[in-house]
Amino acid sequence: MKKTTLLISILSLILISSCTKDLLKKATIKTHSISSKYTGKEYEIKVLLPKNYGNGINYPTVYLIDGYYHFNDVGNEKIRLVKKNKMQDVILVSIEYLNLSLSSLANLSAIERYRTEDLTYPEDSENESAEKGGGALLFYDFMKHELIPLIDQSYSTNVNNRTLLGHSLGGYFALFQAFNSPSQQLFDYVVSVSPTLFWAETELMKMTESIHDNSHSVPVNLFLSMGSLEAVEMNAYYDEFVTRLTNHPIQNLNVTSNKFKKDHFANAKFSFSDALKTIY
Amino acid sequence: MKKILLSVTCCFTVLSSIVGQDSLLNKNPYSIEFEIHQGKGAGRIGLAGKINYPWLNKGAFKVQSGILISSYASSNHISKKDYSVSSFTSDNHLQLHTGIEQSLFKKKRIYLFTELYAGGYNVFRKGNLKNSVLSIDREYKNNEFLLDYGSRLGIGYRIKDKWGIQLSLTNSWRQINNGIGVIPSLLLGEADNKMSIGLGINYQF
Repeated sequence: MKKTTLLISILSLILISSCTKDLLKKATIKTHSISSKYTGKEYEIKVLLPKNYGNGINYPTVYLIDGYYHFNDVGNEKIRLVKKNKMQDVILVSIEYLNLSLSSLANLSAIERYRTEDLTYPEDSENESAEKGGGALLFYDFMKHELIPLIDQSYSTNVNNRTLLGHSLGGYFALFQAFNSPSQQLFDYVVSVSPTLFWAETELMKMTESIHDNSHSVPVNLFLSMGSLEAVEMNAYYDEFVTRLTNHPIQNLNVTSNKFKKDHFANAKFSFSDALKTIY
Repeated sequence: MKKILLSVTCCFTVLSSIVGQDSLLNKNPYSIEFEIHQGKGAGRIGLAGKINYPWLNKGAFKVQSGILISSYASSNHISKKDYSVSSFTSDNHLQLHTGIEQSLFKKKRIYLFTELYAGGYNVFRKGNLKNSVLSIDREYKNNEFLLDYGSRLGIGYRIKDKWGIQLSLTNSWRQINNGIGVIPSLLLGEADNKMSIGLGINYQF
């Protein structure tokens, strides 16, 4: 009986210890809703403010694409890193869709449809799924003309220090927006994690070749990362992309590339944390 | 947090193996399991073998430890207008399990088991990417070793005294999603967070 009690106690201890504290519960999070005239969609914007916000400091802003997937991880990680003095505090802006939390499979399906529309360009006619995408130019306009002005007007932001975090299709968008408007950069730092470089028959790689050939300048600090455990397709295109950026450098584009021993989802959390520590 | 969980699971496994060296062993038969697996993350089809070492037997209730070896593999080919990708993936696991088994009802033919495990595995990927427009012909090869811990749940039916058939779910807890819980890790099922369902037999000596 003693052995059984010991066993049950240890099992319980392990299960209880697997639950860590959610630091976001005590943090100040403001929410805004935006009905975009560009994309025609309604967005919920969560703004995680610095701990000592309101002391006259203009904070850097970090915009997080796909907030419904990553806000909990990135928000908690930001608070943890600031607490440990591993990064300076920032305003974290999470972009989500209004009334679409990850509470049901129907919502998940809608989120996937919306994000594929918003984060890709051009339309991928070869895509096997129903989502052909192609709306990234409109989403870029939403960010440029609606979201960023709202955040800069509502909060004490440092307009010369903006970062964009994107993973997967979000990573594709992060690269796309940097390369599509080389002379009008919205962000000083662009973090593209596990980007889906094969979208629309590798349109993005063709874009970068064209930028290099035309000697355009892309004044951005670009942080790239890929999980070495991700699919062969992801890794092979990533390796090729990094090789091309190295062999055919683009003016003023400062590239940092990393590979981590992670798969697709785990790489997001790890790489965002790594990039925040490096940038801030 | 992961390191703590891994350490506790390892310590527990070692402790249980030491505690298991008592006279009760003589009364408790070993058992072996063999299962065919359908996995998520890395290889999709796999085979698993396990030998169990019972150190407590209270009739319908049993506490046992065991060693599990499993191997998964899959291949994939994608062909699009401009590019094609061929790939092969495999992952090979060695795990130390400890858990409980409870037989149900009067005849005690149906049994449930739940186990925690600690161990490691390698993930091997090899493939080739060809893109005619961008003139790419690139090989990709990668081999990683990962420490692992997780759970295994199952249900079985004892056909005769010695033979049983069983269904199990093995789930890695490596990516436990910031400690929010076990369920998010159940949903991930990636190469660094392997999950698989097994169907197989159990033989008790």
